[in-house]
Amino acid sequence: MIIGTAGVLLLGLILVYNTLVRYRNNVKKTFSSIDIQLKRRADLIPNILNSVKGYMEHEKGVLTALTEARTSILRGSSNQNVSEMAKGENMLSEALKSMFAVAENYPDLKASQNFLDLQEALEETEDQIAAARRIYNESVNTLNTKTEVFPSNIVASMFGFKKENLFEGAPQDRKNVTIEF
Amino acid sequence: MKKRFFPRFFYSLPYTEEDLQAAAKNAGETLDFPEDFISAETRRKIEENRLELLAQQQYIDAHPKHIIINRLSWILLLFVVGSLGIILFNLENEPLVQYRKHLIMLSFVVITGSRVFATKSRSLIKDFVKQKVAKKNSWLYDPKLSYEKADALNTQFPHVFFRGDQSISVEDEFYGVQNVESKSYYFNSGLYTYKIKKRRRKGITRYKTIRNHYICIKLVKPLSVEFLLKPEIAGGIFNVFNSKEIDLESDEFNKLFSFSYTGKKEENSAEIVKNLSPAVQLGLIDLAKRRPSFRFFFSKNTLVFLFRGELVPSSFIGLSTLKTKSYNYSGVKNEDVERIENEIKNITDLAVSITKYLD
Repeated sequence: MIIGTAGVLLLGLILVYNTLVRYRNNVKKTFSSIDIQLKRRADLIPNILNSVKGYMEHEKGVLTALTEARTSILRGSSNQNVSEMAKGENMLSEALKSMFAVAENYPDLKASQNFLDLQEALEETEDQIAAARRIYNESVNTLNTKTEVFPSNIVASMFGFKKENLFEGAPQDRKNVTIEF
Repeated sequence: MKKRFFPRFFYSLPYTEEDLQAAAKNAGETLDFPEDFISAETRRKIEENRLELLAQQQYIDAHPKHIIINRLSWILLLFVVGSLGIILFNLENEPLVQYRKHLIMLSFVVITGSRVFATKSRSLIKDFVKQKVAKKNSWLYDPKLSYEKADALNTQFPHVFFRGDQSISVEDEFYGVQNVESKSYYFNSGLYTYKIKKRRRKGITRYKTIRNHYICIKLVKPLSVEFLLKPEIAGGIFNVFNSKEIDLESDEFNKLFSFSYTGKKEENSAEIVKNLSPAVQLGLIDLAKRRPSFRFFFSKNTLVFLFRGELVPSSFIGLSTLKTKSYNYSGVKNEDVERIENEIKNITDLAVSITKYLD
């Protein structure tokens, strides 16, 4: 009887432990997917800077913001720091928005094929980042829930499974939409 | 005014040479499609079918009461013929002995005939609406049933299609293009129907009709790998022990889909993972949730999506929901055109939006 109960408990422990390991590995895998897409976008920035600098000589602030955001992402990526990467990603999104807004004033730049191609590549990468972020956050939520609910929280604390940080979007993305009637 | 075609069956519309000429004049321009997407011969046939449909529409525009008059005429004819049959059959017998039984039979014949007529005329009205959707977007619409097309699909994509053993056909075909950013994606969609043996009772084999809708999208840049995605059957607790052949980022994706491909895993997996980027995974999850019982086939230069059921479900364009009426016809209603167009585009847009990430 005692051996039977111990056997069932051990089996349960193994199952919960394996599930937690699987969820943790999934978080790592989904994080690397964001990392790849963010690096891909960061790699596009020097090309964008090259293509716009001839036109936007007087817009130094916009170009500096782009460079700084890129550096922040790369630094976050090398430290495997989700918060820093998310911050860099938000900075880069803002800087790109400003740059495209300023580009409206330069018709020659807007018509340039190279610039259009880069814009398209950026848009695609942004879609991929958004998708990767959604998948990452889902996997983090699954792991975090598992580490909090009973009885897996006991196994999680026994083997040191910790809650992971979500990859948060830019605050302006979460603003309430005002509907005017 | 000479009638060029008499009704092939009682529900069809007769149209004249003038209707056909007017249809050709008002047909509008359709898009140019690449030769490897649609052959010149197929296109010619579809154009003929399209003109025939437009000519019928031209005819009903001029004779809006035709369908109701035709229906009433056929009901009357069935009634008269049926009554005569009963009288002749009972001449030698007591006329009123089997009166009740024969009256039930007569009612059955008249009601069935009337219902078949109603279904067929409704189908014709749906074709008019779909034709208008096609015209609005400069697409091609083929209302006719085609066995050749089904054969072609079976040969080209045997992993996806070749199923069933009876009456394998394709109908309700659209050929169109969707522009995404600077690229044009050609698509072909249609209803792929086949029958499977259900059961054999009293020496009679019964068949079940299966309707699947497909969307084929021509890829701008060919893929270097071919693979099939099907619904994952094993789930729940068994997933703890199963190690999946190809594990992607999204857990939901891994639970929903299973992979099939020819060749070794190490030769294919890297390419498959590369193609199924996060955005593609989410798009496929979305599609699979909207239309369960799916198959997605990534071929070298075409993406094939196959779903159980119709692209525009029958319930969606049933008699009660359709604003274009067959018995009180007053032209194809824009409301119907927009609803059906939206329903078609909901799925095709999503399918194309996945394709753009592969190029």
